Amino acid sequence: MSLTQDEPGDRLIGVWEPSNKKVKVKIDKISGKYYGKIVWLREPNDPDTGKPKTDKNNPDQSLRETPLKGYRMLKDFVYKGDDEWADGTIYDPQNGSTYNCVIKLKDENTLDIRGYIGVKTFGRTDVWKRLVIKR
Amino acid sequence: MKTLGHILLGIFCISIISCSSPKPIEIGEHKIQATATGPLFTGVNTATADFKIQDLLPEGVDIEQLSSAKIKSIIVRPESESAPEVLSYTTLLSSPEEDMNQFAFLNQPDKTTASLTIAEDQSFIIDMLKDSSQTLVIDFNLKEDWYEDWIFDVVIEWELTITK
Repeated sequence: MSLTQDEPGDRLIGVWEPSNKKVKVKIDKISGKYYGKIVWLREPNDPDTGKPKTDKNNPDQSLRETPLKGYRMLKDFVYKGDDEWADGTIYDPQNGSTYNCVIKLKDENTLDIRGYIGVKTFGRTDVWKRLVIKR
Repeated sequence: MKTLGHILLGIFCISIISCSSPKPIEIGEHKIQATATGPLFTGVNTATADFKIQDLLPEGVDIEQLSSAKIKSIIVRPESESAPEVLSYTTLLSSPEEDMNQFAFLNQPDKTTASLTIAEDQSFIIDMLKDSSQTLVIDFNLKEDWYEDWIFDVVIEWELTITK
């Protein structure tokens, strides 16, 4: 796992917050690709059970007790140049769906994350903010 | 003459079927060490280990001959006995050409040895093993800070079959 930011694509590495502020996602690099795992949840416990939230919508029933804290919701992103990472996926734990995804660094502390099925045109973009502001 | 022809045809068919039917291969326990570089802070951290499944196969067997692959079990053991408590484990597998996939997890593991719950759907594993190398990823949720590197001893039990 790379800890130093010595390649242009490594600007993606850090902790980011989606616009709904429900989670914080740490993006790291493993074997040359970028991955984001949930490191913080605004509501860590399931209101129904009082226990830590799990991936209860996972399509594979045998994995539904996997803790959401630590879940890798961004996977397999490759840096394409021009502040864009592609070929990856984003997972929505609220419905258990996985979407194709493209990430664009708008500025050092802002990401456009576009999830889509099939064609990029028919997708939805969310704005994520870096947690530690770089000056 | 006709009967002899039928017998020869039968032998030929049997030999074809026996050559193409999947055969299990024994590779024993696969032991690897996964390392997370410290310092590590409370919450989710990651240890990784690279390996090549080809190195485990018996001599003369090529990864391209693999016809099925499954992980039967994975046991994770922190090397340091004084290491802080781990609240959960999630393990994933990736390779250069394939997407990363989760294959096991465990909540509230025993402090010394954890036998993880394995995914039912492991259809992605065969393509990963046919890739040039594999990466094991262990995400673990630490209860307390730890200021050193963290090393896991990992034992994987594979269920592999090959077609000649």
